[in-house]
Amino acid sequence: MEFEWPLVFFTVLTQMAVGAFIFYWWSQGGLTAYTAGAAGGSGQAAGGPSAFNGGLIILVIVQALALGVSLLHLGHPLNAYRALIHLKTSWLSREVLLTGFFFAALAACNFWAGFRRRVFAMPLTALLGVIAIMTSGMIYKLPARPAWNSLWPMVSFYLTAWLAGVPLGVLVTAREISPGNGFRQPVALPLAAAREGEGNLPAAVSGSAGRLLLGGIAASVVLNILYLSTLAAGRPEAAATLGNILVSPLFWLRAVLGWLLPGVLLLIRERRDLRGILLLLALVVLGEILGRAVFYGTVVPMGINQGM
Amino acid sequence: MQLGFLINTEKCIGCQSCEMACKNEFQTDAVVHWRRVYPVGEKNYPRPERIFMSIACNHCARPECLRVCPVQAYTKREDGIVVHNHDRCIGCRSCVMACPYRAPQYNPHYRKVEKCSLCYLRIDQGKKPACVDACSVGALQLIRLDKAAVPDTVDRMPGFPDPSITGPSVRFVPPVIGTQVRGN
Amino acid sequence: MDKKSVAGSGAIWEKLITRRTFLKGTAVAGAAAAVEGLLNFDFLWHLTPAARAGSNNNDNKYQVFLNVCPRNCYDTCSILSYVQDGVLKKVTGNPEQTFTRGHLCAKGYTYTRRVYSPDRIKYPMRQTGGRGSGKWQRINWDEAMDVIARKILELKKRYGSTLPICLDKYSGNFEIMHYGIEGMMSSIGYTTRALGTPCWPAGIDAQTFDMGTLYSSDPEAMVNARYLILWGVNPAWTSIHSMHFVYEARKRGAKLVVIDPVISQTASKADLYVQINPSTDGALALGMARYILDHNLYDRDYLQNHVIGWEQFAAYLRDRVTTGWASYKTGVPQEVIETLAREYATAKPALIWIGYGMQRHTNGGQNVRAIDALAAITGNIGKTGGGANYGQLETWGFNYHAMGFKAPAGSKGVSKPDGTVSDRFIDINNFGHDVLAAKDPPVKMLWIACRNPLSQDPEAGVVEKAFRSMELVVTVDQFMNRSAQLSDIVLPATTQFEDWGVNASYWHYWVGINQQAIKPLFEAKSDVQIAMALSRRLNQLAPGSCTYPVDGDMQDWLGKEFNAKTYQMLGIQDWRELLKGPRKARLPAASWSDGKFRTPSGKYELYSQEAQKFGHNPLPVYLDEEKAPEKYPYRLLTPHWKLGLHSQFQNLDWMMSTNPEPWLEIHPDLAAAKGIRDGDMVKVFNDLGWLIIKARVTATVPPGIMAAYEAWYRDVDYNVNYTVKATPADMGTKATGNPGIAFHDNFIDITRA
Repeated sequence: MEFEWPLVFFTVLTQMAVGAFIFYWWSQGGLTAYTAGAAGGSGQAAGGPSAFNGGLIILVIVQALALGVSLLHLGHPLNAYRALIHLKTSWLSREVLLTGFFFAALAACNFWAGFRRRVFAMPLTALLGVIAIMTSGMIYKLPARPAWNSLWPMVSFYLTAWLAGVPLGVLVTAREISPGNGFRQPVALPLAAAREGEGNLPAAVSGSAGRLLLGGIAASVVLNILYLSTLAAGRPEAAATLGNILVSPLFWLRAVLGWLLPGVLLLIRERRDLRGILLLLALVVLGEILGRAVFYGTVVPMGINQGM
Repeated sequence: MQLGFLINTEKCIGCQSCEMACKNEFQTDAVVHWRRVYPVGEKNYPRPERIFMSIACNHCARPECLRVCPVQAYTKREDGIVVHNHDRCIGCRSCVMACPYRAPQYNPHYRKVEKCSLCYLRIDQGKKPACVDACSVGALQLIRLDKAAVPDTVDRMPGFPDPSITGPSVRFVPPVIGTQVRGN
Repeated sequence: MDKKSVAGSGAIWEKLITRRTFLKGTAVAGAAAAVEGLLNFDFLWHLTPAARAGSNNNDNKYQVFLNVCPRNCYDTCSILSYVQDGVLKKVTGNPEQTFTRGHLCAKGYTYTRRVYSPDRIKYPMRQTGGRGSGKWQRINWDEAMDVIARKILELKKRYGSTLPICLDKYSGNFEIMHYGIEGMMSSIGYTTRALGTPCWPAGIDAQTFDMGTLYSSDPEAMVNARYLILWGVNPAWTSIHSMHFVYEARKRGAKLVVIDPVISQTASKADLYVQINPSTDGALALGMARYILDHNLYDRDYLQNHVIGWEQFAAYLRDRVTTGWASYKTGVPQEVIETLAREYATAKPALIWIGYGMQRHTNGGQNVRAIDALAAITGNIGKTGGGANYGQLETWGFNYHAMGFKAPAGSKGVSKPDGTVSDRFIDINNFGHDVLAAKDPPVKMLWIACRNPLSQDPEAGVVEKAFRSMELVVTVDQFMNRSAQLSDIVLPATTQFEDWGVNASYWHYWVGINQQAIKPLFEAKSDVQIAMALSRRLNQLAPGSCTYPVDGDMQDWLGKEFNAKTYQMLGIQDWRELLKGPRKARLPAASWSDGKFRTPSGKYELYSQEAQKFGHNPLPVYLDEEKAPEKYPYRLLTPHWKLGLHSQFQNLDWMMSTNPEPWLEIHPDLAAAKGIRDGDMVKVFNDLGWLIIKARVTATVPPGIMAAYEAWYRDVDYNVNYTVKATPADMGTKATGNPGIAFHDNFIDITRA
């Protein structure tokens, strides 16, 4: 089985960054910028962070890491730039382009503050992120791999953005609340400051995050079950893929770590402390990574005499 | 114009000369097989027989490799041959995922993909592809597919992926099952 | 669309493209070329590997040499070797040769990987940690020759003769110059020799009793047959070029019948496949003969003019044979036997190809005689498109100069009743046992060449014991095979591309030269060169101890193999004419067409007194087949494999990559009874040994019979001969010195491993 680890990390990290960004954008008011904020900036806009010093730096780092890891998938990483030239039909070309755009826009958000950021840069970044995930999902919609030959890869990628994005988004938001600790401590100090200085995260943020995450887990479980049941009824290769999934220990590990544990933790009580959020983030991300490894590693491709 | 292979499973004796002649012609690494000889499962026929189909790149009408390749390493010539440009390839393996026939194969030595080129350089010199040349029973032939249907052939075999996906440029002569007098 | 598309020209294109599209194509190509000049994207559009390797596509870059595949194979292909800068770049078939018609087989196409295999023995080496230790030390040729020469001289001194030195050489390389190693042995005195052939002796004797020798018709003449019985032979794996002629015969209206216990690859192509109980082929032939007799379908004229013993044979048939009995023995329904007999006897000409596999039984020789008899009584012998074809050695009339050297004066050997002295002969088919049993003097040194007894001999354990009891074992080979691994000294052998030679086939009528295409790899030498080097050292240490020449040009050596008769047969004046291409012997398309048999009577002998002299029934009679003992109720057949020839080829990286492991074919019913599923590892065993192997469940084998194909896989402990007993076949002694081996009377039991 080929688990395609570079692709696992690239896709999960990218989707997590997109999800976290959207969460952050939403926590910053989201589209309300168009309705409410056009006239006068809020305090945050005025005292916004300087370049590369806000919470978004976390996402820049995550996304840079994702892009770096993606190169490891290539036989010839230095020639990765060439992958941009087949936009006409290749979803991979489109993914490279869109992911690049998303990264650029994300970085740009760090430079801008106030109106430009809220009205222009942030919505654009969010949009690019959403499209980037779509292009990524479309890569895998291949007739030669019946288990993937649907919108499922895209749907599952959005689910990853949802699940992994929310807890990371909380961290980004926390750092935004208490910026200025430099690059070395992108997360821990601001969070600690947020917790100790001003109490815990604003209840509005953490409360919605908890509900969002719980909802995401529920959606992920339900949609996965639906997906697996379509495999059972699909072509022989799809059915064989289902068999591989169900016997894969990674899949069951993912179910426990990525769905069951975080779900239980969230149901027990609201998490507003650093340790709690980091724990949730770790569990969810680990679950998504395992799930993605299962995605790549269990698929049965078409081939001569395959799935017979 | 579309060149392709005629695979005569009635004549084919599964000797794998085509497969090795391909390796001999291009001196490919051991791990890649531009052409492979596949057994057709016994259970697909009324009597136990040893039946084979020799498959390389099918130089499809709608090549998936060409569609998904992000670096445009694939081109389709006027004669329908799908050529993979090794120097362009960056080893992303998208084509490996997309081909229903596993024609493009990743070679870890070069860290790139490679595949059957239908010996286009030989064809341009008026020679037959090396595999066709090597077949001592005439079970593998070069044919043109763009005209009317090739008589007495079929476009699918048990175990051969659905040709409607990519329009593979191969036709098969189906096997003839002889009479068997068996003890059981 | 690729800008570089270029329309081609030439033979295929004439067929493929109508003139109109061709012209159009050229125009487009011209335009494309013009555009390309303007927009040069060379940095992106460099050569593909096809184009790069592909120099391989431009044959002008090469020097092309003529070679012949020297393996123990029917087809003995003519090869064109493409050499660039002293490197063998590829091989192809030589289209001039009308039997192989420009095609090689899968094995032949791997030759570059054999020549340049990283596993090749590169230098002379000495095993310093004891046999089988794997601790090898590189030595130079002088040291190697010194050690060997001193041991030879010391043994000669100790025992008063060179009889303690034993040569086991056979079919690993049938190129004629390799007889140089026999010559070297003769040059030092009388030695012990492994005599015989494991492959085909029972059938050779059978044909020798019947017709005087084995002399098959030109296989290219198979196309003229109206009825073809491939009897216990699987050319689709072992003689792929014959299949063209088989198909051609069928195209011209012949019916193709295959008789085999296994639904072989060839059987899969038959019009009629007849499954037969192993080793009962004679019963089928005799049953058919009885039917032919009863229905007056025999050829009265032919029997009268060319055959002796018809009355006795007919009496035997009437007395002892019925089609019902034949059906009981063979498992073939009576009506099928009768149909076969009627069709065979009435189709003219009808051809039988007798395989080597079906004579590897304790009654193999008699079975071949019975089948021969069918061809004789129907008058099919001597007719083009007919015959009972088994093999031929007519084209092998070389001088064998390389082996023709006399022992030094005063050498002691085995004294014969007629006063002459000779070598001591032991049975190649019971080699280990005979080496251990040799007394006065015992065998103390082994020289193994063109042979891998530890893999190919029965009772491998006994052979290993024999190896271990030696004072010195020398193996000349290209690969570190099982025998080489148990040797003290290994010497690197050249391939046919690295030296001069000449090859004939035991099937078709072509003879071809082996040109030296490349320099020997590393320090490899040919057998003649090794013989000369050893002679040099022996004569330095003890002048006169070896009569073998100490130097000579290999082309001169080669020239000395030819004589007026071979020249006449090949239609040439000088052997160098073979540098223009291989030649086909000028022989009648049908053997025995003159009706002059080489038997004592000059006729086809259904009744053979010669056979009687060798202890057989003078008539082709049925000898009961070997039956499975209660303890080991299943038969394991171990036929040849398409990607290997004995222990050659399957070890190469290309082969290992396409077929990495051996398997056992087992019928679904037996598998179910034993709880074996497809892909399970199983153990087959008997008192001699055992083998663990992956099961492949298939109905191409009958329920009580399994098949595993002989081969030497790299780094896999697999040897089909682990369970094979050295049971002699019934015949072989007359023509080859020793009886064959009943390889296929191999009984085993099986469990899940």
